[in-house]
Amino acid sequence: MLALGIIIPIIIGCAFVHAVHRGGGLLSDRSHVVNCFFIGTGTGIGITSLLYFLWLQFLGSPGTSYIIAEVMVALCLIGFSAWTVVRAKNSRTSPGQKGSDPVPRFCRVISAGFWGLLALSFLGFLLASLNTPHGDWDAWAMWNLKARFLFLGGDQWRNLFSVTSDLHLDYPLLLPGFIARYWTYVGDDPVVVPAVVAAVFTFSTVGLMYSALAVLRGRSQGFLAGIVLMGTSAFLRDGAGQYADVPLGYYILLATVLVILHGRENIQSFLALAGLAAGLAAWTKNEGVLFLAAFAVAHFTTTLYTQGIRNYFSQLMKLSYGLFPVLAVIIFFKWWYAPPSSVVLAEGAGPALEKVFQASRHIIIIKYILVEFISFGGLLLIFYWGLSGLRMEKAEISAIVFSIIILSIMMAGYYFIYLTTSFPLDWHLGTSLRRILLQLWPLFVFTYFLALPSWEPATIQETSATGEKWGTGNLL
Amino acid sequence: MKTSPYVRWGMKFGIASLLVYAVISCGGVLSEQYKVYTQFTRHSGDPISGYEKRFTGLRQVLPRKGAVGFLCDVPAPFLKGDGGPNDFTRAGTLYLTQYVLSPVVVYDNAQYPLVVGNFHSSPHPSPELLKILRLRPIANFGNGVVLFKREGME
Repeated sequence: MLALGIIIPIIIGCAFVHAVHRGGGLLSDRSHVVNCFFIGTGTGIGITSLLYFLWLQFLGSPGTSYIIAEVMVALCLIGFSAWTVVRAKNSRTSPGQKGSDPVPRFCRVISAGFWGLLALSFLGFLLASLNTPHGDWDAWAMWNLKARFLFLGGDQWRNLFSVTSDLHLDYPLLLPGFIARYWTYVGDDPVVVPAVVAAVFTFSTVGLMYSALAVLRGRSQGFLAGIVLMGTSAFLRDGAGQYADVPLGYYILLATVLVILHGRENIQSFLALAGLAAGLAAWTKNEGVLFLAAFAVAHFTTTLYTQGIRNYFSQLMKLSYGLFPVLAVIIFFKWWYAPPSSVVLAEGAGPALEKVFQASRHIIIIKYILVEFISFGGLLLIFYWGLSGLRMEKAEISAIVFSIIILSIMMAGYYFIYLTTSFPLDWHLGTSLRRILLQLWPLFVFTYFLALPSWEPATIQETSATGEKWGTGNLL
Repeated sequence: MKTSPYVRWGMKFGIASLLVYAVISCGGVLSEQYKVYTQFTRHSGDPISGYEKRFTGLRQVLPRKGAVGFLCDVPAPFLKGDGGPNDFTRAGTLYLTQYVLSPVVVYDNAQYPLVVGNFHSSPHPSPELLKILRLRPIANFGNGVVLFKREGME
């Protein structure tokens, strides 16, 4: 049941992605299949977490009947997905296989480096999980504690909201819900379950980064991004520490990647999936709500600029298909259960405004951000950009601007929170900045490698049936 | 992609640097975790599992749901303070006890019919303190874990 507990949501996610896409060219080559898998993994985890919460809320403590219902959903989605594949095959002529170009030798070196590093990362992750099987502070004091209430609490799971409010009871329940759901499959609450969930999110982020860049910019670019991400020791440590910042980073990356893929391949279903992923980011942590706002602004700005108001509303409608169901659950949770958040403007507007004008606070925050950026390997990225001739891919400009708007708004939001915090600034930065930056790091690395010149052509350009090149203003 | 050979070589050097940095960084995590594993985890397990084991007996006699009070002396020895605005080491002991006793709600006072005692410095609290708090020990699980009943409350 341990294996089934994680396989079923992945199947649900992949089949859901494929079914929503109605069998188009999603499985046209290996890069697309891998991409579909890593999109489906997080999507499935998010969907089953929501289903578990709704079941708990309206039907009581989930048991065998829940598992049966979930397996039925998986079978239905597989059936529908298979039917769409057959239908798509009948109605479409194959674009024909192109002869594959020989892979340059240096690309093989990059590929070997990636796989070697993946093995090393996995070993490191395994040992870290053995050393802290309950996770670090946030994991046991928040996510796993909540999961225990959901799973062991039976019909009195709402007692969770009676525990001390220091444990962030306002945080949403994607991780606790999914872990509790997984324990329902196992029939017990072993600590291996949260560790498996952490591993799936950590390595799915690497996989999603690789596969999305492989599709957009070529495999070597994907491998390089994966190498940089796995080379960020904080990413590996906090992933194994079961911090929710890694899953949040995954959903932030997923939503952005899906919007960019929609722009490149003009697949409308990707917009609905992007809306779903953005919603799941907000279902993971409160910071996901800030991401939702940043995502909305970035989408509005880039779509309005490149495609006009009519296309913007048409795309917004498609985004909302995926976003609204999740948003409804989040609003319900916040309305019924979550106490007010205590981080933003806890002291009121007056003292906060005073802090905004204190230069010393700005200096401290910037110093901390720079130190973390360097510890993440940021200087090496600047060095590599310099060696690449300081060039950027002009064809990707809309996609890059879209990502940069998201990153900028989120950074500005976090900056403002630190600037006005009621906690001692040094302590607040020292205990949380690394994790906060880690939420944005996968998207930053993705954007960086999207912008930089690649060694080989992208899969989309290779497999395009029309051979059309996407222009500068037509990406989103 | 048309790029000058100098840039190609520069990129190759850059990629090699990224790879070396990543291997060193990742290897650092691996060696650090291996050290922790061989020095501590392999012999004595992880601290939270050890903490949880102390409460195994108590979990069996506590009702599966409801609320209990909490009484403790000093923080769990492996919880490190972070110099924060709150006493996080003291609070951490409460959170940790809440974690291991979930889904029973643990409140940080002794005003409940059942009170969980968690003592690290000595296995028994002073009789004077128990008298003031009107607590009577009803079960001692060893390792400083005691279940009290508050007199005059049902």
